[in-house]
Amino acid sequence: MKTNYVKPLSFLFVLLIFFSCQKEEGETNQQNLTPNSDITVSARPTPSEDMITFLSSLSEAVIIGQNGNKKEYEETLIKASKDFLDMNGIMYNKATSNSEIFSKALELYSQKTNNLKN
Amino acid sequence: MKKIILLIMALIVAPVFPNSIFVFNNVDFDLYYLIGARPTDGTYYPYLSSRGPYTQPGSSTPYFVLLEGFENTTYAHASGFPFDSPVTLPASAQISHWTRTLTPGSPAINTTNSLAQMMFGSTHRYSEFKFFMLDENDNHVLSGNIDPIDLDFPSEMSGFGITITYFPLDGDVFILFDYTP
Repeated sequence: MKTNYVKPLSFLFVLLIFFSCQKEEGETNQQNLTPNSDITVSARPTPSEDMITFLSSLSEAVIIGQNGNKKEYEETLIKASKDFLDMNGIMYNKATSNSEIFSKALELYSQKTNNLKN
Repeated sequence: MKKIILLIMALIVAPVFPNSIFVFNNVDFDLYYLIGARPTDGTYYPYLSSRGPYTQPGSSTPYFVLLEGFENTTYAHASGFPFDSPVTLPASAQISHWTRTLTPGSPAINTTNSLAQMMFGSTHRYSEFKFFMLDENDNHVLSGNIDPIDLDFPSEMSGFGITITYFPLDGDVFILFDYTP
């Protein structure tokens, strides 16, 4: 009796291609990052609602930017910053540049994280 | 008239390079870094880095800048940012000392070096950010390099509970180290 090896071999071949195409999670983002697995990173302080909103908007802006929409990326970044500053009663005038507004917002975010930590 | 047209053309065609670099260390580890600068022309990649009484990892030079947990700093374009002087030899990039504007109350040092500022010019621009982090016992936590392929667009890397994001905005560069949500 003649054994047909074609089908199982083709199946194995397809499986091989499938697994070789799979990327490990986070592979693309960690090409340049070398963590030390012996050290434990302390727990992130639980952020307040406004901080979470600000952070999610920043992440959203990054994704928009990475998709090549520079204008929308900048608009999302600035809107997120203004909203965050407004929510915390931090004043800025209309003449303030986008860069200054974003810097102010990041400073405030940093300050708030530090306060939570203490 | 011809001059005006040329001026307008130059303004339109001229590339935009970062004016200021903002670094935010929003995690509870010490951040050590070097900011790479490369010429707008050519292939030489010298490092610009602050030298001085900063902690030096190992014995090699140039020194890394230390930014403690929850500190932030700005390399500002105010009166003499290194990128602004007209001519420099690439090798001289190793002896820079940037203007460092620190947040109020910061224990770190606020220094300028007018000589270095004179040496660096519009021939250089931001290119990458090499870093490592240490915990309170000087154990290595993580290290890496933010080397965006396209400086005009944001990039992000994360691992080990920490996310590092590069935000370009209006010709400035923002680098944020934060806990991963």
